[in-house]
Amino acid sequence: MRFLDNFSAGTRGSSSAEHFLRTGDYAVIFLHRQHSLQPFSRHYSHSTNPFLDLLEVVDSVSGVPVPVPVPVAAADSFPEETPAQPDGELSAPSPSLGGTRPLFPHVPPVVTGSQPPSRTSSSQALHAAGLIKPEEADRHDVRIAHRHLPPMLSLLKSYQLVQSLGILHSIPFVTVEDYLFLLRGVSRVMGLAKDDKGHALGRRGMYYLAAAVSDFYIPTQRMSEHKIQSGKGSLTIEMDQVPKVLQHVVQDWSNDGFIVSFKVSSVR
Amino acid sequence: MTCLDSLADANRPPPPPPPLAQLETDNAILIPKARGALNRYGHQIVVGNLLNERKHEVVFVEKDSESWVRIPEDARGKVGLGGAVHEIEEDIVEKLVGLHDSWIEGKP
Repeated sequence: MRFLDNFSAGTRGSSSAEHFLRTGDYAVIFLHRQHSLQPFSRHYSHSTNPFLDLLEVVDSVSGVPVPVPVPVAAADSFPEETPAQPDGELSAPSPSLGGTRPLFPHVPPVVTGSQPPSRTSSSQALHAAGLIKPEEADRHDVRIAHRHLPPMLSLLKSYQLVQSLGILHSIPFVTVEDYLFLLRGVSRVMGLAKDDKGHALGRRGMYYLAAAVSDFYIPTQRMSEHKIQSGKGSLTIEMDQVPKVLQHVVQDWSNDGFIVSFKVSSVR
Repeated sequence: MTCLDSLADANRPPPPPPPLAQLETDNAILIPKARGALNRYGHQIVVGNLLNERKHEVVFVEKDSESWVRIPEDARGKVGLGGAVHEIEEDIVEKLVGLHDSWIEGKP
């Protein structure tokens, strides 16, 4: 065992952040669990609209989608001679490779240094992998499928607008201690913040505390440095209550900000 | 169970996660708990929800009042006029912005 964790995808926080930004009246400091959902990109997470499903291969000249080559047969080994695909895509394995070639090449998208990935290098890699002739790679382009284009275009523009206005600042945390430390820091900074005219942020600040923070934790000094040995069988862990910082946010740090906390109950 | 039954099962949403120790286990205690937090910490509002209803139902608990916001059953998950699914966070934000405006104007 390496880690005890609370489960939460971050849906409420990321969606709310986006809606606060949409009002045009709020800038958002997005204090979030590392790798949880983020405003804007949340619409294209690894499980919702995974990005590869949005793309299609097209002919780079005509823009016509290139059909996916249909596997000839799910055989244990490739036949010596396979009927050629109509347009010759990823066509028959060549007998010279002994019939043990993989189904597809392994070409991780390596971006080296500041150089943009070039068509030439990627087609060379494909060529080196022995499955695509360079001239074939050059004939093909990747495009966002038409039906996905309008929502993505709209979302991308919103995202870029927010970026250029500088009204979304993301701060990730991992452990509950990170979270408490950062919440204190953000609350203090907001509590002391003044606008261009020297007016305190004060009541105009909102604290929207939607993170699913654990009630219990193990203080660092009691944390086992190494892997806990399993030889003794069962394991008993004693956890401390996570300090309640809400009263400090309210009374000490936020300078009269508007504070929203969340409570969840499990089943009806 | 027939094959079709198991197929239908596979298309159903997964069962809700088991209750967790840190979550309240009874709907009836959600609002009293929320009010307890308001009294203890002296802040403005608690947004409460049931784990399984959180996408279409929340309750705003203030010192002396509470109000529910719900997405009607027939509108859940439906694509609206703007081409987007209506999210309850939009309603939460709208409500809170109104309350925040009052707070800024100095109302208690």
